[in-house]
Amino acid sequence: MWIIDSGATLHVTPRKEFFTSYTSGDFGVLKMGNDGESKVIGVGDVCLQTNMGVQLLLKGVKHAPDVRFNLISVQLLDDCGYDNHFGSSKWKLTKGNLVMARGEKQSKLYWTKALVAKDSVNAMYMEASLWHRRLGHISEKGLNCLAKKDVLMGLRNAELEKCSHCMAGKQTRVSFKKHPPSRKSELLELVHSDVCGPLKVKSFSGALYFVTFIDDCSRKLWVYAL
Amino acid sequence: MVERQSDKKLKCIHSDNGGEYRGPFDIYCRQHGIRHEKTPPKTPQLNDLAERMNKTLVERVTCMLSEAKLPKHFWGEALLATVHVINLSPAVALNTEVPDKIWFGKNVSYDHLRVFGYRAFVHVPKDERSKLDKKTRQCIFIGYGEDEFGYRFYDPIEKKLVKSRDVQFMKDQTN
Repeated sequence: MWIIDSGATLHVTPRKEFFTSYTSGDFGVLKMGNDGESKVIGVGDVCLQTNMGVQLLLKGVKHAPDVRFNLISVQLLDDCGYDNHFGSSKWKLTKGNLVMARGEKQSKLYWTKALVAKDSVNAMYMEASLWHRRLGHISEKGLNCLAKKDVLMGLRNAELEKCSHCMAGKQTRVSFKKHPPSRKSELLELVHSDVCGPLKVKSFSGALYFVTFIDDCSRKLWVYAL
Repeated sequence: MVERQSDKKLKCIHSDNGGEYRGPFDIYCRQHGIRHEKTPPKTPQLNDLAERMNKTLVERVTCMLSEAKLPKHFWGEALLATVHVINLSPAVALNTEVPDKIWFGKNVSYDHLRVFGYRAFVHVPKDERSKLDKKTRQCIFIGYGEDEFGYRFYDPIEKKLVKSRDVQFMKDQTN
């Protein structure tokens, strides 16, 4: 959901994954209507698929993680040659004869539903993934090291998704996490058991195996030769 | 050659005392006054640095072959390409510094890196084609020229290795 804000001077979103292109950095603060301020940590373009099925490209969208809503600035749309129509609790965005988007008024605000266009691939991710592959499937940690030094063209911070080739080459077993000592409180509530063998040499009784039983609470041990 | 480049002498070499290190290698070390540190037999744990690097190399090679969809006998080329990028990658032991930067003492460039296995169109030199022949041939990118500049390619049709610097890479197309 996006708010059509006539008071906003800029497009704003708190969601980084919306961006199709992205530059991170310190872009100052946004002054909010309630005298609050929120930091802008990135700028980029967001490509929206509106509820009319049209693609709407918002340029220079500010990424402010503290903001709670996605804001579309009316005056910026106006600058891009779009016409805003407000009236009877409805909002309509047109360009020439084409209706780009529609919205409704709900609790004093104009809202419109829009998807982030999926077919335009997330540029940030593409860039990181390309360098990941160029550097022979380097780890995310290593990629971030290089990105911080600003030696890779067009890459500042890297976030990688799962790469099937990395799994093919590097997958290991999941570590056995040490679970906290949870001993049973009652005798014989839980008994652990295992069979050991076959041993190479027979015992005097002709047994090749032995089986153990351990009580979880008392750690009392029983062994039987088989 | 490595000694010439860095103007320093190799002082000590650490190996796992395998059979391949005995004989001529040992004699060479003694003649040139290089101390040869050997681990006790069957204790790879003491040769940790080299062993861990082996694992890294094999893992990376598997990744790259998997992505390029190349058969396994390309492992040699993949290995050389891996070494090239590992030398350009940050190392924790160096405080995330890059090995090549320390070795050569100057900043390294990443502009020439390409994805292993990319389809590439290699320019055919003038003396190898006639007027109406195609000017390019389609190859698979398999590495960086180590001693000479440029890239190395595999020509799947003529089954030959091609070295060239006149290339157009097809983005996002592997084989």
